[in-house]
Amino acid sequence: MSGASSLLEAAEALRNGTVSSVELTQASLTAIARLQPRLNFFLAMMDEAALARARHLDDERQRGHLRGLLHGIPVAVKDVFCTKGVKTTCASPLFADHVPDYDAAVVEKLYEAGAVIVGKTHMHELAYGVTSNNPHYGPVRNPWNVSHVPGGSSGGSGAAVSAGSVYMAMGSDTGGSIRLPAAFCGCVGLKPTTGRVSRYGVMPLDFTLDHMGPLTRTVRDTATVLQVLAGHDPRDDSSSKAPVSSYTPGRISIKDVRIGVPENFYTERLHPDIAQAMDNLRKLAAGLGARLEPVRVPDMAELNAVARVVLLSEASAVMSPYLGDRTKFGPDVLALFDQGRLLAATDYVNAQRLRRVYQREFAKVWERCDVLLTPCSPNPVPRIGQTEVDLGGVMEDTRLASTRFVRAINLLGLPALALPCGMTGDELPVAAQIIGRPFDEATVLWVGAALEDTMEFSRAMPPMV
Amino acid sequence: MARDWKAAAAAFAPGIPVEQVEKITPSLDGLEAAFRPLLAKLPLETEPAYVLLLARDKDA
Repeated sequence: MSGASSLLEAAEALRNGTVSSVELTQASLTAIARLQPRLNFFLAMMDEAALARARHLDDERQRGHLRGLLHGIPVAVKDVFCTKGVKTTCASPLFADHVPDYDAAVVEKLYEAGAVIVGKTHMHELAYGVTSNNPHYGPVRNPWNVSHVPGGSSGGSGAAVSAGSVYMAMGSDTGGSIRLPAAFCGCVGLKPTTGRVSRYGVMPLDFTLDHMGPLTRTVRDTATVLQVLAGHDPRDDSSSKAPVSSYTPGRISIKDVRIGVPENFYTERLHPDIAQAMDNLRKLAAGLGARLEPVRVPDMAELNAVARVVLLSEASAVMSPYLGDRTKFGPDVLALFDQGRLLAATDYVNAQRLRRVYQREFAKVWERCDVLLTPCSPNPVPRIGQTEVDLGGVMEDTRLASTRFVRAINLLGLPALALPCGMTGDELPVAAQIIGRPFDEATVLWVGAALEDTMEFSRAMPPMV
Repeated sequence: MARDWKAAAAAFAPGIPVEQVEKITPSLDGLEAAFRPLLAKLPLETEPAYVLLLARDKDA
């Protein structure tokens, strides 16, 4: 897209005057229109408004007025973010005609920083799933292989960034919904710490597990966007007043950084291509001088069970006014909402109590390391319609397998980055997950950027593009 | 102890068809088996992780 493959390169080109925001925006709109029939990755376009805004931003630049880090950059947002005067449907017929009269906090921040929002990305129905195979509006397809899923629930955002049609797309993550599409589409995705990015104006799947974050081509692009988004918002009860760090990493060493390598759980039932990519990445980190520290993590399978009780209960509570009309739901999400309706209130409360126990237990991990390095998913990118994956001869439910390494991190509220780190034998992306201490996105991004600098996956484009 | 999900549905969510309850029962049983034993590690005084933040926000 206009010769710039990353957001920061596009920002540099805008600064140098080698390209205008109108040109970048038009290129973005053209790319989306060309790819939409094959990828089905957008639900709504904002062409006219985007071009008008780009013209205005170019005028402002001419006059020496710059709004912020994203001045003139075309981006997209998942269709869970309320956009004033633009349909926000959550990819559900329930909200097919929902036109908010206000912008989500994230949208406000993007506009304040000068971004141009070109459209709303497609997603798993109601953000409740990992495939983005939507029974109402069709499946989103993976740009690396259109017979495979892009991951979910922010599948359209992953596909949009991976295909180079926008420089950043916003996602939401309740149990992996930013990290998995980033991993399956070969781009970078960050789930920030709970409370770091406002949830105000986002259609909720859940109350205590939802997180908002960017998907981009590079780690530094993600850091730039986080710089724009991070901060307290009194309209979101979970929003934190913790100080905002400087996130943008330079070309810096990770010598002596302690990278925790779990000895348990994250090594179990792992596809051999993913095990190999992780092995290569660990060697790379060691070669950069990082200290690889073997660590034992708490029983993440237990955390996953607790997270599922919380999610099933809260999501069903959110949707309870709508569950009377079962025709408005796809079968996979309906099955989850029905499960949530049958859990006892005492189990929900006790799951939230167990959450505290595990948060304390997991905090001990940080005595041994600065970040944890794990795979993002144990399985390769599933095919569209694939309901089970074979891992070491064990058949596992695609949703539960794909979320095995990411789900519990939402329960713990920790920041976690999906970082492309290899390809499977059939040329589909593989990603690592870098997990950090609460509110220590800076270290997560620093380590991610250092590793990314030594790999070329951030520059790889799907063959179809 | 296995839970009777059909009875739970009949009592609390009668809109869920019986065949749907049968379909989701293996998933619920799996979750029950994973979750129930964890309650044994729950100290009596542990409060839930959701909190009303009014006091903290006022102080901050």
